[in-house]
Amino acid sequence: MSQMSRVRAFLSRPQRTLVLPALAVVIGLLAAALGLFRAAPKPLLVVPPGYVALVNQKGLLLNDYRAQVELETAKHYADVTPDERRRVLREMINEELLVQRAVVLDLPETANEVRATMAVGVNSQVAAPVLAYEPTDAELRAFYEKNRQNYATSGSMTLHDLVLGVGGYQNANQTTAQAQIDAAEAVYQLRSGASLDYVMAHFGFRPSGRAAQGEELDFAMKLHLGAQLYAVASTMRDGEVSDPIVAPDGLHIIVMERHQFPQVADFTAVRDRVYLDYRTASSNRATSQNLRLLRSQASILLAPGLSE
Amino acid sequence: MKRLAVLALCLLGATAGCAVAQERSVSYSTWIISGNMVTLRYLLPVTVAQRLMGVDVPVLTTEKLEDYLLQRQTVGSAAGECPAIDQGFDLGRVDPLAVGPGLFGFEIFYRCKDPHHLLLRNTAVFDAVPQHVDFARIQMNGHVVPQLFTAGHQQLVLPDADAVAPASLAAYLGLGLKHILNTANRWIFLLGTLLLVRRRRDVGYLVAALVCGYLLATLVVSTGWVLPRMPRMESFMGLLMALVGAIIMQRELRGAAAQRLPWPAILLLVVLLIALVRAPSAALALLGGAALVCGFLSCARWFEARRILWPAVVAMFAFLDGFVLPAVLGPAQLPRPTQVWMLTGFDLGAILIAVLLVGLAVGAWLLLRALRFSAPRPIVNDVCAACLCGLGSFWLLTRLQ
Repeated sequence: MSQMSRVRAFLSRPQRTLVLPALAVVIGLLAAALGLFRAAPKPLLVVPPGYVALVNQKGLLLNDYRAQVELETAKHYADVTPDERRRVLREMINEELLVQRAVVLDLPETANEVRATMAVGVNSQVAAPVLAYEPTDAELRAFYEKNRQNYATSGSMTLHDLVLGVGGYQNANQTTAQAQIDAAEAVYQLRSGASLDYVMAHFGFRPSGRAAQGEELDFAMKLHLGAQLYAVASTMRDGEVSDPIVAPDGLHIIVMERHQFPQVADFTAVRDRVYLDYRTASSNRATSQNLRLLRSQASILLAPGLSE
Repeated sequence: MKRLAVLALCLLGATAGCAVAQERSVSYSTWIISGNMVTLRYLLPVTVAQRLMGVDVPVLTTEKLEDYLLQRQTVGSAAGECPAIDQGFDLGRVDPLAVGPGLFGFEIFYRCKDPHHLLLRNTAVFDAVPQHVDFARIQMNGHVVPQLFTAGHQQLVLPDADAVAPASLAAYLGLGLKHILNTANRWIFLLGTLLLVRRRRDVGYLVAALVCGYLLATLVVSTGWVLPRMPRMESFMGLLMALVGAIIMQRELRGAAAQRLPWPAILLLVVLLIALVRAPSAALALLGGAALVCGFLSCARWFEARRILWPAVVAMFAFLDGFVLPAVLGPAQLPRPTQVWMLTGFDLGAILIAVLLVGLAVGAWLLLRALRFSAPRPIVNDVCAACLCGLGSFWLLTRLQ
């Protein structure tokens, strides 16, 4: 009997009506079973290769164990005694138990110290590949040129800050306009060579008390004088007298005795600092890029009235 | 009997709305007794917690739950109540735990002045949901035993020296009984299958199919090879119910002109197509269901006059129902032998109540026949088939995930 006639004979038999539906039932049951069940996770009953222990199904790596043993005993792994190895393993298991407990207690969400440590850990991990790269001298020099102001030596000033009060009890009737005329005259006389004491006595100026007597570093002087007066003082050279400056407490005149301007250090002298700054900047760049990425993927909602 | 089934179906159909919202309300507690300290770790599914607290915001739910649990989870001893102790930092007396998605977790420590005659009280959730079940593990004197807290068993007296007795088989048997009684689609399915009974021996086949289904489920659970995808399984049970309706419909169509087209199968395939659009992730189960429906209805037509195939659907239904308990036992982290023991009791209870229901229905039918009560058979069968198909399709679509 040919193949075709066999097929015809099968199709003409009444049993064919049962075979196909039965096949459909079997296939249907199998497919449904695959959709309705999923494989149960198999518990690990034997420590897999590369691990030294399983703590609640979580593995402790052999590499970590060896490194910990060598770190704690300060010996080569082969020289460590069995007792010392057992002690280290016990400590590692204890630590794992505590970490697992910390996760259950949700310490990353509730303890500030844990949160800070985790944030530092993530930043370190992100920065690690960047920090592993050793910059060339050319790159360091380029960084130095770009940030020269950071490598300047601090300048210093010796100055006198005189103030003429306006509307005070001593000269209650003097207006600011009148005081400005007096101050302009005082400046003229100081620039003409009049002594400080004479001008103070003649026009009623007094030391403002802001600047210390003697030399002060730039940053300290800025702190003491305030931004307005420092802005004027920072441009003055030795022996110069400023124009009158109107301030809330009166009219100021600054007399610069000596001004040593900041000087940028030579690259070779500050190479180590440049190297550290370069690495810090690279690390900061990596962490900020990571944060940008995280923010782009995050959904952040702020309460009404708040902004960041 | 068919008339009675119709009446029961109509009655239960009216309560089907309750079954839509029906979700198993369970929680899990671990009580660790060590000297005068009792540690309680309590896990509550998010759905149960939110329904209980009426808040959808997790933080607010957690805060409200903490106060709620302090009031309802207590420990007593010979020296009176054991207070929950402050756990330091800013935790207070209830420490919220991170226990994974879908669950809220809490830990409470109780310190007893006298560690004798300890009494554990767990009254949480029962006032709001009387069917609630708490699967407890009691760890004491080096033994861990499973226990149950239910609305009727809200406290447990601990022996001072001996090991705590585990929950008896009867407790799980009771769970199985209540499971069938409290779940409308199980009732309706059982009564629907009674419409297919023609001879006395068919009742025997029905019971045998139930037993086989539950037994097979117990065997599969005992291997621990697979885990059920429960919401999908519940929807598949809806499909099986619709299939029973289709079998009744097909039987009624026998000899009619409409039989030239396989209408019951076409109807179910349309429903499955809609389900596939609604939940593409369940494609495999739905395609399997489609093949099963087509194959089964074709086979049933061929077998019609000689043998019956529908008990196989009952066995499948019972098999799937046998995974209801294992599906909720995951967070309880019970050893497999304990789970099998619990499941045995649960399935026995389910079988017992199912047999009782069938017996009651048969008895009532015999009584009605003796009273010469009659109803038009074709109408009855048509209405019941339509109800079964409709409810089954509804459950298939609404429970599919």
